[in-house]
Amino acid sequence: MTAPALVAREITVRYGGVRAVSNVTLEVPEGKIIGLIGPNGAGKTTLVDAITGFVPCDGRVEIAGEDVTRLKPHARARRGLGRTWQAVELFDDLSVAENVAVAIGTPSPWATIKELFVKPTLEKARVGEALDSVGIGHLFDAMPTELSEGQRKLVGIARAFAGSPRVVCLDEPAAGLDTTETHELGMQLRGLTSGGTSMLLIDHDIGFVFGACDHVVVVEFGTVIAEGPPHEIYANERVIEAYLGSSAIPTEDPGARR
Amino acid sequence: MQTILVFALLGLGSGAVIAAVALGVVLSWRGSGSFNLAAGSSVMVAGYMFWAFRTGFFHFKLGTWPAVIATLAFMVVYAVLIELLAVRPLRAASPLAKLVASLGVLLLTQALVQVIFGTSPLASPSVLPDSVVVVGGVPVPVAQLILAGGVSFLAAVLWCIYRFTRFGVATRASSENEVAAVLAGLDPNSISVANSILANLTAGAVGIAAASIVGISATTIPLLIVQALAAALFARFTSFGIACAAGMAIGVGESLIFYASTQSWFPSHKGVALSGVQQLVVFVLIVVALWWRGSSLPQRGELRERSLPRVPKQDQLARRMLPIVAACAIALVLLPSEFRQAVVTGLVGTVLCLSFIVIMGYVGQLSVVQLALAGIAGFGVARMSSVYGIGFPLGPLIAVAVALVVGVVVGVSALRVRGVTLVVVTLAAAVAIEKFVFANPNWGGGATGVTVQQPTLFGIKFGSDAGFRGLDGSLPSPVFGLCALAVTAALYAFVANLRRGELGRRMLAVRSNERAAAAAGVNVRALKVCAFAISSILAGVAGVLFAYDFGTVSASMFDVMTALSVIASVYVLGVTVVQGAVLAGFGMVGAVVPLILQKWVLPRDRVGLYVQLLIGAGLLVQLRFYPDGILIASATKRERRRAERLQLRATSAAQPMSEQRAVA
Repeated sequence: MTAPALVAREITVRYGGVRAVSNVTLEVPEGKIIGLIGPNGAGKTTLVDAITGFVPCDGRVEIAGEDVTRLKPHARARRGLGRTWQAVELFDDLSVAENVAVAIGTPSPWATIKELFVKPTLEKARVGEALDSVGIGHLFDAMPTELSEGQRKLVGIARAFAGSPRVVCLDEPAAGLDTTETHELGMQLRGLTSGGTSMLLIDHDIGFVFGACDHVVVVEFGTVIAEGPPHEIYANERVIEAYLGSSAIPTEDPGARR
Repeated sequence: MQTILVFALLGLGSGAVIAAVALGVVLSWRGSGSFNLAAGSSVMVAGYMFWAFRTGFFHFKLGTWPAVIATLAFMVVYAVLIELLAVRPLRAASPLAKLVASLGVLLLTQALVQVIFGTSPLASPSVLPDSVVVVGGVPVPVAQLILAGGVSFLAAVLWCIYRFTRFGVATRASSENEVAAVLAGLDPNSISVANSILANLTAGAVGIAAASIVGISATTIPLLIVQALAAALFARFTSFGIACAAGMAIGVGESLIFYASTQSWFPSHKGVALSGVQQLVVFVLIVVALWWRGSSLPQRGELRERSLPRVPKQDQLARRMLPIVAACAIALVLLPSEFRQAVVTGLVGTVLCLSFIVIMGYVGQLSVVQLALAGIAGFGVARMSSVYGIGFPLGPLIAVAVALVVGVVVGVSALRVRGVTLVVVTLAAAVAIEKFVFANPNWGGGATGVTVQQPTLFGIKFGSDAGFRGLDGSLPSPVFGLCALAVTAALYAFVANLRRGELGRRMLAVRSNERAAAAAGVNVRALKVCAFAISSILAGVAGVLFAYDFGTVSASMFDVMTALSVIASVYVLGVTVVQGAVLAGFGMVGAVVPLILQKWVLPRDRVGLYVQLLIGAGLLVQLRFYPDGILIASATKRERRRAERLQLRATSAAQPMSEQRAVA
């Protein structure tokens, strides 16, 4: 059996005296989408920051069995750990194609030196493929500042997936998208897993998360309070009490979105 | 022991001025979020105006008090003017753009003051008593004590205003979160004006009082900003008390170092004490302050625009370069010697400016130290040939390597800081290198400078003394010019190509968003060091070429005001495009544009001042109307039209296009 794409073991993040994340363990098997839900301030984004190396934490992070706990964010990214941000963080000075190209491969020093003297070529095919996979191939030459918020989100997602990562942490990719766009995004994400990429998906849209994910982890106050397949979580009383509430429960059957 | 006390107390005078400038820096930061490099200039302006009112320069003579009042009234007008010209138009701009605007103000006022009042320092009529009191058996000039007491009092008043008044609360609120302050009904514009007036009144009062102690000089007083920035850093740009105390301490410290330099144990060379130790200490203090008080400035919540000009791609490089290179080559052979020299200087200036394009334009790190790095290479190649007998090609190679090492060290020590804080570190580094290395007779050029042996290889001369002397048969030889042209063209192509390749893409990614770049697998630290290395090599090559071009190197060629001028002119023209480097290079003093101005347009001895005036004014106009730089302004217009077309096509045929690309 191959090692899971991502394992986060007993992750604890402290801000001063406050424990933002406390002893969280989760596992993202290869080719699966794991949902991470919880009320505002539950520590979801902090957990992703810890996993991707942007905040210091206790615990252990493994990518495909390799311990990356001591590595810096860029080194984790090179080992196949991608991420997107809640507020889309694009390189506004680079075109959409260049934005994606930055994440593709790491050039060797020799290749870099060579590029300085001969006209470099953008890896058009791979960049185009990455953009097409989220349906924005026509934005190839556009600048990020010319895009709508939804399009910017998709560029961010295309960039995170461009380097063929093993696992991508998606922080609220559907926030700001309308219902149709969210639905399409869910389909595209499922499509991306067929290439073997796993995902850790944070979102507030419960319908979206339950529809797209194979397994859902619920956190509150920095600790895991429940986990399991979507239909189990959907019925879990503690989760309903902590997070879903009566109004948040989607009216449609969660399985219907698949 | 008593003498030490005397020197300490004497240092209080200049310390008080530094403290006042530091208060001005803190006020600007709190009031408008601008990082004010021109805080020292306000003190200078007040000093000159007071002198003018007192001595009848404007054809009327005022008594002491009327002159004081007139000067302070002028400072209010000056504050409002600066606010309207340089602060308000950039209220929503990035901290870096605001800093560059203050650089414009610094260059503009310094040049203007010298154009109006002349370049030599003036002796001001004293307003403070010149009597002496005896403190603990030590005679101390009363003026120093009054000045120090006055500045401390001003700091206390400012603290009270910010602590206890509604105005203070409003300023604090709007500096914490401007958007929220606006929503709470505060007007950031009037808050900013009021703070600016406060800062300039403080500077004015000190400028008047200190003129008799530190003198009125357009070259030394504005540069007190370096020490003042160190003091302000210790105060985290917020505390008036710490800024004031740290400023005084720096003044006292400098005075004590001066005293120490008169002692026999102080390191010396041929009976002359080491120079530049003060500046070195200030640099070290700034580095210490950064480690001790946190790695960067407190963030302000404010309206944000894009921070740096956009970076267009360079297309059809060879086709665009060839005509210019050919024109330069022909000019080098045909033109009379004076113009030939100017073309060579312009080419070398281009290489220097290319180093700013890489570090500022591509990576967004505003480094002031580049000209000093050029100086290190220039002095290196000169001393290598004159002292150690190492000539071409080993000498220049070693010189560039030394510049590279120093540049990388500065880059590594600045890894934790970015944006405006980096400016403080590199500014202090540049001043320290200038005073401690270049002006130092031990390893620099001392007062006279060092001559450079022209390069020869296998007995063939190709320096400015080579055999072929152009059509008019005089020095410098076009041969050196052609060599410089070849080097410049190669480096130009290199920097332009950088933008098109993977490395340039990564640099821009870091410039746009360090976090996202790291998440995309870019090693941000390594990339910054790499950019520092590339730009240090460019600066080093420029330094070597400067040395060969002029035949001697001296500290004044590489001083910090020149560096600031060069940065400003690159910024005006376009800091993100290689063409900007060419124009800025040819606009440098000694190059073609100033030579033409000097020959036919401007008075001979003032051309440097007028060029500086032009750059300073140009910077304010550019930041207001062409924030991307003048060169890109037109390119942007073209791009926008293209984008509109693209959008049209995209909306009409989104689906088919992506399919086409997938097939391709």
